[in-house]
Amino acid sequence: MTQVTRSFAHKLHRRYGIFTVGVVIFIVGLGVLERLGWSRGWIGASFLAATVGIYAVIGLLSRTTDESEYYVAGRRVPAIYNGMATAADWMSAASFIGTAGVLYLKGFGGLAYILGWTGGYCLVALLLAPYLRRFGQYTIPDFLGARYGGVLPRLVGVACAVLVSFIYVVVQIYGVGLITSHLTGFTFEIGIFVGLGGVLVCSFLGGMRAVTWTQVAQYIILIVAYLVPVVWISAKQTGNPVAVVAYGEQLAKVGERETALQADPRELAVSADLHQRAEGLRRKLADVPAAMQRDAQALTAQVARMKADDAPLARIQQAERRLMNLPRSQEAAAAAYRRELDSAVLQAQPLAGLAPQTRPYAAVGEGDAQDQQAFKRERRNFLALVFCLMVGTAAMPHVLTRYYTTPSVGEARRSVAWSLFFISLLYIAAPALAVMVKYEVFSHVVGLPYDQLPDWVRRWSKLDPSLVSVEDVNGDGILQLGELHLGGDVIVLAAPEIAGLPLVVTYLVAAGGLAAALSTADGLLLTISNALSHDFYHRVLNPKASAIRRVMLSKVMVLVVALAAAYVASLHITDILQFVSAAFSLAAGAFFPALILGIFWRRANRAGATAGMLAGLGVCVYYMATNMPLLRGILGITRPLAECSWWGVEPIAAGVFAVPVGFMVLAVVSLLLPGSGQGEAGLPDGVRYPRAGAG
Amino acid sequence: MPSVSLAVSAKQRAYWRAVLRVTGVLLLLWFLLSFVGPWFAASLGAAHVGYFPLSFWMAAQGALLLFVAIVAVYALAMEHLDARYAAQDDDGGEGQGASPGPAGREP
Repeated sequence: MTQVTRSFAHKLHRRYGIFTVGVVIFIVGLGVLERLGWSRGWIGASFLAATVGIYAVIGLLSRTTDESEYYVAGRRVPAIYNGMATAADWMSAASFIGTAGVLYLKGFGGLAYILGWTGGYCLVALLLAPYLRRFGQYTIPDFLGARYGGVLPRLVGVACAVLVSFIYVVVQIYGVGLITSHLTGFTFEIGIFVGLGGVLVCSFLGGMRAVTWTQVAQYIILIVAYLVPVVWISAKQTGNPVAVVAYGEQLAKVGERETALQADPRELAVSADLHQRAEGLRRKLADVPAAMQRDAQALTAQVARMKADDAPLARIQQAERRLMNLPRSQEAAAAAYRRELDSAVLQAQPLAGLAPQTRPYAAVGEGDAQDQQAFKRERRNFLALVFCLMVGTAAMPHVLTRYYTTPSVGEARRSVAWSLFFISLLYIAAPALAVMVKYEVFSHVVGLPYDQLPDWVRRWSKLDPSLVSVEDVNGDGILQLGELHLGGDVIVLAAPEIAGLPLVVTYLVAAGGLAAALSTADGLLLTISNALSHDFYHRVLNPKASAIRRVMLSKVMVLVVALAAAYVASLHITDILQFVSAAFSLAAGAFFPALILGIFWRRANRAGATAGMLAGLGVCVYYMATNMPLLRGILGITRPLAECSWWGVEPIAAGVFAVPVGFMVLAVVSLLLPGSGQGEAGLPDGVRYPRAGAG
Repeated sequence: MPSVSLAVSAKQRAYWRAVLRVTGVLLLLWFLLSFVGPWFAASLGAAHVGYFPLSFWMAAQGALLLFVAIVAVYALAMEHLDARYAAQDDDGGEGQGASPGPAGREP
């Protein structure tokens, strides 16, 4: 590290040290105020206002129109801080909220996300970051354009970067809407605009410079917000605050409870009841109009009976409301029945559809042929997902450009190490949180009488029945596991409440989730706007544009794209984790072969790269379009799902086909058309060897 | 564009071979952790790390620690290699070997 970097780093240590102390004081202060009787609303609003306020202040202080500062933060960011910023950039709402949730629901299967989202950094460190940094430009399409020459590789790069980043940013803004609406009582739409505002105050004014320094602050907040509940719950449940070691005990206890619950006669009774209900729903689906008529008649008769019996007014009104809310059209009724059927089938499974926490590939793999098939399929999908997430990580434009901001190649390598370290802090805590929440639910919630259920169950089921719902299926007045539905997203958001921690911790967690979503959204917005203004407008359309004009255009693009993303997010397309995983597959298929072979294979050329990128992208899009229910619906594809699926691989893991295809096409076309241009003479050699003094 | 010599010196070839060796070894370890391990996850039987079943522990903690180690070791090994390469700059050699590449963009 040079002297300049070292003294700058010292300044940063001081500033962020003070910031961290400030955060702790703020949290403790609000905790005291909660004890003194401050209401939920005030505490929630304080957290929201304070955190977004800090980001705005940092954004304002870092405003710039200087080109180098705007695009790569002046290349002054020391490795450790770049690591923190990358970690925050990396950890999106999906990681923060979704990871513990998927571990709760899918047990071992959820570990594919943990492995995939950390192991990818090995690929970044070994194969990409140092070489890109040595190349020294501003963006990924820059590298593609310089390495391969011509216009096509850069253009395809721009299109892919915009597509992948846009999908990802929509999900983040959706996450912001979700978090703010669930915890502050604002509506979802207002929540989205809060998110928009938060994102814009950073990236709009100061580009990469503001975004980087804000992301460091956001990392500090999000890691504190994640670790405080984990450590506290661990101390509460096992007496040992070192959660990552202590949760092993809880894991064993959860395993025991799983065995007990699977054999419990009452659970089996609930399961049988739900199977019957599913049968009834299947019959309804076979003849929808008749079912609609029967439902209407039954409810009308019930209302008449209640009125004749002089039942309490509230219950009559409830029944009348249900009568009014019956679906009117056949499609609506059919959709409603299908939803209920899916839910009943899921809850009827052993352990209410939850996978056993530690068994790899839930099917045992030692039984009959069907069992064996299921086992192999699960294992295949696990590995395919791990592959896509890892390779996707190493191909995500907004991640790779983070390493352009370090002062040197050596610092870039260290920065990847620091990034992975800071990221692992959260990912190592996620399974701990999932297991401890599961222990709490299995041991202290299941088996309670309905009138003694904890507050959080009632509050959350009113707030969002799709996340939490209970129903006494077998009528015995006691909660069985099969009667409880817990969505994945609620695990992290409600963990403090579930474990009985003070309210201030719940809002801290929400602030952390917000930090994660905003930081990622910032990074993505910048990537998109830079791709459009720098790579497309400047490099392709108007090479003579002045630096000021380019930066201005980029700022305008940030605004436009943010509004577009907010609009799409408000359309409420759910299932965050699926779309995020799909984005990874797309990035992997489009970028990974072109980047890797561009660095390591001298003969990769323009035609090869263009063909390879388009082939990778094409395979991905094709597989997703034919296999994802949402896209099949939109595109009207009717070929049965079983025929469209290749070896049973899930569509979110389409990258596992796209990447090898991309490599092969790139290699074959490069060899077949050796005359096609190669871009700047001296690449790839130029990125391989250290330059004197610069590294 | 400045005229550059595209010849690769012996020193550069040796450096690049060393880089590929370090990269290759670490990539192999990465591959074992990411794919070979999980492939055999179900066959690890009753092996445990403390209270954790081995397969669960490897995927949830062990692999993460090793990934961080891989990346850290790479940074240190490359620093060492880079320093050796820079130190060799002074022994004249054959025409310095071109340092081609995008000129003048580094700070």
